Amino acid sequence: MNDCQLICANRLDDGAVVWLDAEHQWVETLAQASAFAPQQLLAAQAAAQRAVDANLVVGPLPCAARRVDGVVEPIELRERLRARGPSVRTDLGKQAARLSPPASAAQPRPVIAAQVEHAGVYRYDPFERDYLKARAREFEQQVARRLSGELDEEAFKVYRLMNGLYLQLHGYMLRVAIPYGTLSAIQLRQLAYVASTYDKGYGHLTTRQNIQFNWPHLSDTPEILSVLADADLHCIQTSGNCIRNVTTDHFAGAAQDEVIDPRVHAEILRQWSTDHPEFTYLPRKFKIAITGSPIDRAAVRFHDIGILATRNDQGQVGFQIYAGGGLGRTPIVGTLVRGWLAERDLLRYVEAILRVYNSLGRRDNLYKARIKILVRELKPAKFIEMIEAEFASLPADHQHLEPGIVQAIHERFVKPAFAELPGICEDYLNARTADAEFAFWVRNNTHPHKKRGYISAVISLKPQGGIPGDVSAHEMLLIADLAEAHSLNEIRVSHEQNLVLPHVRLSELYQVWQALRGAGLATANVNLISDSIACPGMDYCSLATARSVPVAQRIAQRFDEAQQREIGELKLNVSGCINACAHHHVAHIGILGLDKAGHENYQITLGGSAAEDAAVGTILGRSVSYEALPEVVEAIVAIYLRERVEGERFLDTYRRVGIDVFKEVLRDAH
Amino acid sequence: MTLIDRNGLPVTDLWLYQQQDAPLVLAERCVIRLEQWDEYLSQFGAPAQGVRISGEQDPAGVLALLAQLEVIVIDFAKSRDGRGFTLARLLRDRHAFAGDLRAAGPLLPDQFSMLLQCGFTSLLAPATVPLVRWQDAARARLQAQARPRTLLERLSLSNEA
Repeated sequence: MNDCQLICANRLDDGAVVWLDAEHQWVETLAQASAFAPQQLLAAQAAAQRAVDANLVVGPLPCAARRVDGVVEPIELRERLRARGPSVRTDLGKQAARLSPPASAAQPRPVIAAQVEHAGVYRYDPFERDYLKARAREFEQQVARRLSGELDEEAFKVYRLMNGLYLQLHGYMLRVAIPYGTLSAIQLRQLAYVASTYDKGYGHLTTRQNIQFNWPHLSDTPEILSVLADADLHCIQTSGNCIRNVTTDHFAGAAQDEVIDPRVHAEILRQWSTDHPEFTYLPRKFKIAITGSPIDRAAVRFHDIGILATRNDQGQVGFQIYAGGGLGRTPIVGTLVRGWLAERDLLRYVEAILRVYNSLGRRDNLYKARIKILVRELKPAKFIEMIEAEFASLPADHQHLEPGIVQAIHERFVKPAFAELPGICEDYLNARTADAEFAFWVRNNTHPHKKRGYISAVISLKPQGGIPGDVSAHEMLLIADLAEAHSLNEIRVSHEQNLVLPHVRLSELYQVWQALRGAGLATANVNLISDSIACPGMDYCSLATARSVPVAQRIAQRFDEAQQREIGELKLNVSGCINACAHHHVAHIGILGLDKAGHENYQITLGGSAAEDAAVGTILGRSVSYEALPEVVEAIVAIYLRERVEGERFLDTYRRVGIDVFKEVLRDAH
Repeated sequence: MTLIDRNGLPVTDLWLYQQQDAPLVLAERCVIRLEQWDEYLSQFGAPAQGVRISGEQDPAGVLALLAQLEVIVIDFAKSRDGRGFTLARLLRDRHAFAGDLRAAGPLLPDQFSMLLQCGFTSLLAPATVPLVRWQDAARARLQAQARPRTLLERLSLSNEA
């Protein structure tokens, strides 16, 4: 009996995956589920609909199944993953039902955060925390209205998404904003607490410098929001068609090459855009990135608005503004819409761009709703003309960013208490000479600091066999301790899904490294081929068309440390669908997972760059299977090694020799 | 549909909302579609005092009439279609419309504060929302207004004052 259907849904209150059994009851394991024959399906669907109406389950859908050796199995990979759990974490989900004891809810809360007046690196107004607490209470009421049935899923979804709560393959997912990727030790501890108390002991860092929890219950989320608010953290605008978390350089405030600390303007944009009365229901989501260094580590040219903060010859602060960049289905490098914008006009100009977009952006087609399509359809010159006309028509007294405002916000950032140190540290140099492994880590994982005697250190979250961007609660606590002891209390999240200790004394770096190594956190692979950005892919995400994490893992396994060192800088990113959350278009080697007649297939692009030499990668040719992909990547790298001349990175060689040289790798691949 | 004022309270609605395809009716307080303006004027020899436009409409057509209008109703096609917010801002800030700006459509109480901030002064509440929710929303708005939430908001207010 192959022609049968399961009916699968998520339970409303905890998000758990459930199936309908023969008695039309909801059951938690596939083994108990009923496979309905065609003539039974209508009655089963009617029962499922009654459960929706009774607010028991969400989104029940029939899914094709077959019997293998008497056991019912869904045909689609996505549904098989739902029935088991993530393929990259066999200790989680249904497959682990007997392994993991339920998290103890009785664990006491850490006492620190709630009693600290200012938890973050930016010190909020006291009102602001009250507001976050009020938002949590408001969401509590909305959840209560949902659970009681006053709100149906359609109506509730708006509120749910406004608070960063998604419903994905295995249940709810909560996305917490980390504005401009900056965290204090206290905040990281609070995230660790959320991970271990309400989730399954870990979080996942994303390319928007956010953190996601994959297993919260709907009924717990108001409390989670309240706990986050105690540490000045929130989930506002991490979803929905609004202005999302503003991202920036993960070395902001520390990098030697920085001209302006972009976090001040990022914070101004955050305050301006939060709950913006006019721009909260845009045609589509809207992403802003800002950097204050000529070296672009924030991919600003691939954002709806990208801002480069700089100074003119008179030393005045101003901006270069890009608009209409983006990835996804239609990757486009942003258009330079303003070569110089005075600081006081920043909010006015951003408002003008958003107003043009809100009025004219397409709402008829989800895939054409981003601002990049508007810019393309209007043509850049016309788009610029419209922004400038809008900008010129704004009320004269409206929203000028006066120096006093910038200064006041700047002063709210806790100043790192840098010491005056010598530029050369003998102990550090000796450690580098004596310990080759440390020296190698320093070369890959650190960045020069603007303050003499300090250095920024990247904690790679891409160990061999690990899940890019996943960090356990235990690791969060350890990193928070290190930040407190050695990084002036600060941590950064990079859009490459790593963590950064921005302000480490050279004299303490060896000690920090040893502590990291002891915890398995000293993988020396930043910017190497195994430092992949990978989205959660089909292991977690309901939009995905293929898995991405195991692909990144299998490719990384092909290259040992010595080989990676030999290859040098090579950015390889893996997205599990066309939405391109892992920025595959702008990787030197980009991998895009597709569904091809029920099988995972992967398209390869070469030559992308997210940096100041921004470029969208070129498709190499036909897609290859999950099995064949690692070998194909290996062959691409071998061609690079063969073709490169002294000092060339992969990207340089690619740009010199072109794509044709690489096409032979597909000849024999299946 | 119930008319809600800016305090979230239901008030008596004295306006007649002309149906789109029905014959025009003369009324003392009449809201017609913009497309019906000339027809109404020629049929009754007097202009209507209210006009209804949708968020996606180019406001150009209504600008010349602003001085004659007491009410402009802006229709939101969906709660998530935010064009009406921008349209309201334009009519208020750029074109100095001083009459009643009335929101209509499947709007949510959680949007009430944003509607007011964009210049709306009343709302035609959809039947699906318990009326008390609008009062709750107005109360929350008052509380929020008493205390500017962000430093930026506070500093900007003192600058513009």
